[in-house]
Amino acid sequence: MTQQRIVVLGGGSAGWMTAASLAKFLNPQQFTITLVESELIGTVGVGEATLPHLRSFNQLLGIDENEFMRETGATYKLAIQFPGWGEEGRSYFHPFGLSGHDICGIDFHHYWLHLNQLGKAEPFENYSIAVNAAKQQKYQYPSNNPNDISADYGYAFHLDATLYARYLRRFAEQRGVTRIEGKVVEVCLHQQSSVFHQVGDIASLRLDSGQLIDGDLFIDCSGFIGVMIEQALHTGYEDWTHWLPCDRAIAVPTERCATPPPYTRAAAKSAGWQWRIPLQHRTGNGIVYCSAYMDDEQAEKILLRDIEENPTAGLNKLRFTTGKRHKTWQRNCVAIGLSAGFLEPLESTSLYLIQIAIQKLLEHFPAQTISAVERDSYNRHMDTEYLRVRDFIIMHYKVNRRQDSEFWRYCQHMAVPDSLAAQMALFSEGGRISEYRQGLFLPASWLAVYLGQGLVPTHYDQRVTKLPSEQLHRHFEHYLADIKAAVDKMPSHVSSIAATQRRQSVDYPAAPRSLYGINA
Amino acid sequence: MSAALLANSLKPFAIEVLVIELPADPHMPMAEATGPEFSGLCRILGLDEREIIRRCQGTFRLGSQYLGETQRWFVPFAHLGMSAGQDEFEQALFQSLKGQRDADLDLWSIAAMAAKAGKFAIAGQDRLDLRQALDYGVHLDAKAYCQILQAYCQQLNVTWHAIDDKQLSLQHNDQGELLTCRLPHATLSADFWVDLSHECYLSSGQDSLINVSAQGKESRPRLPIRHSAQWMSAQQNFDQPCSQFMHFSGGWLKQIPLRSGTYYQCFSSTAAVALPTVEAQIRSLIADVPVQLVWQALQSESTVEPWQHNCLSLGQVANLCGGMVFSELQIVQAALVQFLDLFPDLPIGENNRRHFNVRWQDFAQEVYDFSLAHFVQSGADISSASIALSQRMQVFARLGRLEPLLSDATTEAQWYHLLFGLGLRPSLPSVVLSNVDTPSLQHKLSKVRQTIERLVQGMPRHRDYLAKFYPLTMVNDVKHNE
Repeated sequence: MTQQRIVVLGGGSAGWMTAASLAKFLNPQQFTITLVESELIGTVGVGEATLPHLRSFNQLLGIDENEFMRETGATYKLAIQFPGWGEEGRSYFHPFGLSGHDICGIDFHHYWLHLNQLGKAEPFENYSIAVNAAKQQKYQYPSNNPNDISADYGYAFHLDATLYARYLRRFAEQRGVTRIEGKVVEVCLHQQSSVFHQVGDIASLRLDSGQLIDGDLFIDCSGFIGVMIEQALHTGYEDWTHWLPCDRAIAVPTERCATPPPYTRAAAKSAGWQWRIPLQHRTGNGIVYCSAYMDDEQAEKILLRDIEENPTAGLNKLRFTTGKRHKTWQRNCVAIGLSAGFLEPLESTSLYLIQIAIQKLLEHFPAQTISAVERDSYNRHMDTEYLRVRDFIIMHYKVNRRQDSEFWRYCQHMAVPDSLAAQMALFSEGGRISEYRQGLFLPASWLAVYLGQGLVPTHYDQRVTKLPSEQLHRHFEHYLADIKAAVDKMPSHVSSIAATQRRQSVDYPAAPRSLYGINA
Repeated sequence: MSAALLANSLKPFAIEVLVIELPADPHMPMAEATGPEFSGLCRILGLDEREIIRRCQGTFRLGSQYLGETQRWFVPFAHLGMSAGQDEFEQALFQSLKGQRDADLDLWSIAAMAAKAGKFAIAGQDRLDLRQALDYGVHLDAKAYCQILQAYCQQLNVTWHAIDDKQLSLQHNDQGELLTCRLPHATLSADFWVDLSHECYLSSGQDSLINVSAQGKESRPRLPIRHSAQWMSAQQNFDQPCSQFMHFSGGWLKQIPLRSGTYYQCFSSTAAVALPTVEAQIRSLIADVPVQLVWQALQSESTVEPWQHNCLSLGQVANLCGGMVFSELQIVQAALVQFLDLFPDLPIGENNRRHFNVRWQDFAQEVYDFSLAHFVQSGADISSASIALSQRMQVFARLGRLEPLLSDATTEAQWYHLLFGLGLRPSLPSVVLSNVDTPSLQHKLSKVRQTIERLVQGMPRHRDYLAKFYPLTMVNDVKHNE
């Protein structure tokens, strides 16, 4: 049997996550996997905040979570804090979890809207155990008992993307992936059709050493530039800058924080936002901004002014165009990671989009002759994934009342995609959220951001008004007391991380299919 | 059912439900074949499922048995294998069955195997995995079921208005909202109306008054079913915990076993002139056919957007698929659950309404696609097949996978069984399994199969299970191992 040759170009998170996954599942008798990377080309990877999905990815590969935490300097993540979004001086959390439980079949937030209107409710996020734990820098694994309030959240990680790629490289190479050092100088296309290939398909990569890497299926993880998917195959790019106008970023690592919080911070600035990602050994920082409203010098100044620890390296400056390739699988080339599209990491979706692309690639893996059936199906899946994330991120910008800069006023008044406009109109009208069957995010996330940024609908399910408000208020008070009692018992985040340093296995829960706790 | 569901759900909020009962429709089905949503409804309403099954001459339904022209297959409600959500189980199965001429997926479905062996049991609470694997619906006598629900509504103080004449006098406001409905003995007013009549009495023919939007007037092509007929046979069949579909040229004959007899529904895609030929075919399939069948010509289209103004028209859209694969009750229940989720404030918001209609279209599309797939090999005109259905079939035939489901109308398991049953065979193996050698794959699958065989062997016969736990004579203190 002829072996199917798979060539991965690029050795960042996307490249090594892909290579590791393929190495894990593909039979070496039937497939060869080659990864080409150049040490001369840097990766974007700084500190990386993730979503709970990454746990499933690691579990699928058979990676021990505690070893993963040690190897990547990871900390736990329960939420993202958003200071300054919505309006200046206010802050909220978007947790990986629920706030409250439904009553008589009606979602909790309708009751909250009612009590809030009566002035009897606390901020919505206070009804989330994940937020309470995050604020108090506490952490413990979620419970598996659905009746336990500690079952109402999930968790993710902050990790060092470079270390993660290194870790996965070892994993992949141990399973037969061949790594070739080199820079691609030419992408060679088939000039003649054959049983397996059509004219115009990628035939091989020519490296600066002169070496030619032949392949049947090529995975483009070369980053923004898209060496194969764009430079060679001219797939085209859908520009979303009019909805997401930030186009530059500056990253800088700083010293470690003595007590790393179990949450990411994404603080709004006058024309963008600044991230803070606490790792075990350092802190990742960076500013994402819109060059039309903030110049590089201003951005750099704000970034360095607002970091909390001393820098440990120089500034890493990036330019990007938010958007997505028209097709992320074109001919015999699949783009994964930044070569497929770029969405700013406001909601920590970068690794998720890589992960889901790998998962879908495995599900749609082609024979040596690629059919449009698997290619088109894969592209449909990935289009949906990108569009879902896009809408959710745009919403953060759209729902704001900041008056301190032209940038935020532009965002307030900009048109949004129809899909997002329909979602927002539904919520504004009566507090309802359209739940997606495919792709991110769950209604709990939409709620957290809507309410956190001050989009509080005046109308809600009027059935909740039929219940006595005093009784409801007592129910809410009891719920808060239960949360407090549960969080009080939790160990600190720092001690939970320390527990993973011991070689003896700590019993972490299996990666659940539900990402926001088993009740979600 | 709608009145019961609405009255129960709205009771905590002191919302009143009124019912206008229209004269009986002679074409209404005499029996209901439900899916697992029946148990869910009983839980919501707090009704004793066992009592309903007993009083409605009920039998259990683990799925549907299909007798095709050349193949036989089973579509269960439950998943394949012994555990739900096992990664790549279906793909492993397709791979192992590849090339086999008489590949039988049913051997890995405990529901299919139990149904075919005439066995049934509800697993105990300590075996939730088995409960899932034997997920069931029921067959019920429609009239008796209706009476139970009617009595339930009376307990909830639902006001009931039965009328003999379908001529309703409706009054709308300038915005097109329905304000009142004048009956012979009373004039009813309401904030919201749910129209379950096939003829859309509360909304059709009122265009000038209710100003139905242009979009709402678009219609969905109907299944290639042009005529249907139904009858009841006295023949009892206690050994079939499933519905049965028998294929004939240009249609399907559906058989529902009740304890009091067997109910048949015939769905034909032929024109009226060809109905005698259809009748002859049916008689060659089964013996119990009345001397003269009463055929009903089915309507050709239905409204796409059932929620207009303050009226939700579900009767016509529930009739969408002619009750062949999905019962009307199943469709109405699903729609009402969605409606309750979006329970409208006054004035009713346009976005709320639009959202319901969009979601409904997804649901209806899936119902339609799943039903239409039954006609793929029958030579009927399926030119109205949606792009989604074509893609789903192509992707399955290539990869053995399914495009994402848009709604809860169907399950992945149902699609796997149906598409495989129709003869589609995935051409590509799953690469995720490429590291698993064939002997160990076969070994694992054979263990699952053995487990299923062993479990089915230990299950009671359906007739015995019914006789023991659902006796037709009243026993109030019945206990069993549910």
